[in-house]
Amino acid sequence: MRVAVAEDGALFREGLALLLQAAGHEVAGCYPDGDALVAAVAAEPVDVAILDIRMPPGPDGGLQTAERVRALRPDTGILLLSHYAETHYLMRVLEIGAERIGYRLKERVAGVRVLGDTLDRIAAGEIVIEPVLARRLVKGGASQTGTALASLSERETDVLRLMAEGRANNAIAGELYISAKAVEKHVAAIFTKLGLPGDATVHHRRVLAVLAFLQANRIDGAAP
Amino acid sequence: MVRGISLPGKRGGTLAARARYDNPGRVHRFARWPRRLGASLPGLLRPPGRADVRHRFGLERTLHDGAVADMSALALELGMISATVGDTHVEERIAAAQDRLTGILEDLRHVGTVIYPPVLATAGLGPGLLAVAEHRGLRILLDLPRTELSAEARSRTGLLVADHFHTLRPGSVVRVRVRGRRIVRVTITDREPGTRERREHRAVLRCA
Repeated sequence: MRVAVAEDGALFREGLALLLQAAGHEVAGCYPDGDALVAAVAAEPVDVAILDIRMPPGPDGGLQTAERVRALRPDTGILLLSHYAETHYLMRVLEIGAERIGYRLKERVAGVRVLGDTLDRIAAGEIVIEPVLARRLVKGGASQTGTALASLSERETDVLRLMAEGRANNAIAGELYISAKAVEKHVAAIFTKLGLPGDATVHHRRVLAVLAFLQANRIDGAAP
Repeated sequence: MVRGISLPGKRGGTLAARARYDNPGRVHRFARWPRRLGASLPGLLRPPGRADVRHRFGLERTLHDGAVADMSALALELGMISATVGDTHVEERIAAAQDRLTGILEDLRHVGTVIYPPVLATAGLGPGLLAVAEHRGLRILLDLPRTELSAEARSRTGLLVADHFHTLRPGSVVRVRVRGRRIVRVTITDREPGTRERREHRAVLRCA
């Protein structure tokens, strides 16, 4: 896999390049800012671009650069890295795209296997979300009473958590030790309980399901 | 606490003293009024000054670009060593070291968020306060001005409210109202879980 890296921290950038090479990937280039990465991707396509969220240009230059890369080369996978797992950044990432994209904490990809798995899933078209963030959000959302999410069963919440981590139905089945058919049934129940429209494509509804719980968790309309 | 409220009485002295004299251990009904009034009166919050904001922003950046960045790079280096070592026992010890590193980074991340919330720095007042509320497990309702505040007003108001969020228990319900541009008025109403009492806090910031 051809990978380009944009990261303003020299130490982390060099370490990431070495780890990518150890994982058997080709490092097409390492850049200290987003503008240099966009120029390189415009000249020669890569399979996945890895970007730091907080880097030049701007306070969240990685997100702006990801938007430009996605507009320039829609087939290029994008992995955004950060020191912080924040819902706001996740929402921005999902606004950029619902396919071939990921958002992970920097220290959580510090292994050949986990980095390789993350890149493979992004290249295969999945959304990869930092599991810590997905777990925290699903747990928080489900604990609130009076929301559609509160009506989900424990198993459906587990399925939604894994959907939020970007897992496909087969992967969810493997994780929960149930059949793919049972996963489909739970996913259909989640769509129904969250009131998601039936005329959307299945993939679109998956993203809507994740967004529904993220948004419900972020703002609770109850006044004190 | 009721103290020093002097009203003319049969035996003189304060209402609180009278209440203790008449019925030790019980607060006089007149003395309860100011107590209730005191609880419902808005408390004043002290907004951070311009220099405080700059100092806290710099501290968070130093932490982020210094210790946190270096430790993340160290985690990568450990990952590299683990990939080349080829010894299961050593790999396990490296994995344990990486776990410890992850724990330390979590702590530093928490400290950084308290010093200056990262989303407040990168995305502004609304997203910044939502992020802090999410971390604190608060349920919030934001009522912010439709027009964009100046950078100084955003950061000072954001830190003022975020600092208050850190004093609240998880599950508290909070309403934040911000009005004005040069003279920014902030009203925070909160109710902690298990109580019915609403508390109101106010602050006024003069911004350039």
